[in-house]
Amino acid sequence: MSPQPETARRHSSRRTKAAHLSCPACHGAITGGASRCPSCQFTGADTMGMFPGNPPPLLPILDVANVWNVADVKLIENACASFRKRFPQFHWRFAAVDQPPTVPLNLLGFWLLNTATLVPPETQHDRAWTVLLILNRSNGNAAVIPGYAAEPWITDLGWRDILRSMREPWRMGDSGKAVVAFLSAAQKTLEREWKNIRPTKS
Amino acid sequence: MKHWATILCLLFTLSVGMAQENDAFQYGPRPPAPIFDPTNFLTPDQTAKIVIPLEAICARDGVDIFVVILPDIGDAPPEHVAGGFATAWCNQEMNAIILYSPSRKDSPWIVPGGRTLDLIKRPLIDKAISEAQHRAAREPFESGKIRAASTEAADLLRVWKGSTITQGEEIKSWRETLLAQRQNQFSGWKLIALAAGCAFIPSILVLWLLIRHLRQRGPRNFPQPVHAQRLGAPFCGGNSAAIDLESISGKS
Repeated sequence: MSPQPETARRHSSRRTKAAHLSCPACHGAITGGASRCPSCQFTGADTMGMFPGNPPPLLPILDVANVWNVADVKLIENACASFRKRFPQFHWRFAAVDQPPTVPLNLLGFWLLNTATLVPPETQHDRAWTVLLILNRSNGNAAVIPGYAAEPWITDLGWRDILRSMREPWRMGDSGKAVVAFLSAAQKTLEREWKNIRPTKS
Repeated sequence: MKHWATILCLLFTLSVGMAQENDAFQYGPRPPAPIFDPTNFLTPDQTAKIVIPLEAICARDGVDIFVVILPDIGDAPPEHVAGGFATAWCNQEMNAIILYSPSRKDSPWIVPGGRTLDLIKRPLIDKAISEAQHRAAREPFESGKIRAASTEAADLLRVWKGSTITQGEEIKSWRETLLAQRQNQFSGWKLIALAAGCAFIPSILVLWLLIRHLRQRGPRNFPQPVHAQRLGAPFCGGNSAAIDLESISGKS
């Protein structure tokens, strides 16, 4: 999964500085390497108390809420395969849960992505390039949680726009096409981001 | 009567001989009938049998056959004597002189003139004339020999005239065909050149798009970012985006 030299591009130092780092609990700004949120003192270990028990293995499609049928799964797998041909570094995980509306979906995803056991052949490197899309069937909320390696390339605002592309098929009850629309929008955004970074000279 | 005829023959022979040597013979205007028979060698009836068909052929086919009957041509070549009459009296398109001299066993001679010599190959003419003369010479009577020679000459000239026209038409047709082929080839090349010219710019455009497409194909890899763990989390630092998919307002 290491970048191929002929297609790799050098990213501007401004790119990572521009990435806004925020606390998943209070959404306040935090600095890289901070062990606690300076505003709310949130730390990753807090999620262990919020979501007791062992997390399930983070399968590519984790459908606890029975949102996707077999055809939807096939559709999503094909869209993922197509995406990975273009951007092989990115790994996708899709989780559908049926949680009470009070459960913060982004914290649930944060907990899941960090604590779920790596299932071979998944590696730590792969997990850092993983983007988790988690859906709550009970209230129709959706959240995206990118890993460390994936987060510099699309901002939170960019992800929000990408999530909006799911609305129309989701409202029509087509949850499979909603995910496909999400992947399509993500690919378009990454294409733009890739063009904005300078090609490697060597 | 015989005495006068002999004198006239001698006088004419002398005058012809002088004409040959001194070129002093005066042809004068062409006789109204296509025959020159100063000694009245042929009877009027025999003359008419020869002249009437020749006039009809001349009027119909434009082939001018003229009969010249001389008592003696001396040592002058028949072609030379006939050529003089042809030049003086015949049309220059297709003509022939039937020269007959009763004193010569090898007469009558058929001497073609005009454009015949330009259009028909000489060996072909000589062969055909020789055969025609041979056939005419086999006639038992003098007048018959002359009539046969004139008929043979008229037939030959009519055939040659027809063939020359055909050859001319063939040449014309061949030239036209060749010209048409060349024009077709030229127009074909012109069309090809035009098509190539018209196709050049789109081809370059298509080629450029193809190269661009091929260069843009394939996987795209982002550089590996250097990151530090945040909030004690090993794989993600908490950045996230969330929206309500069922919201009507479109806002998150």
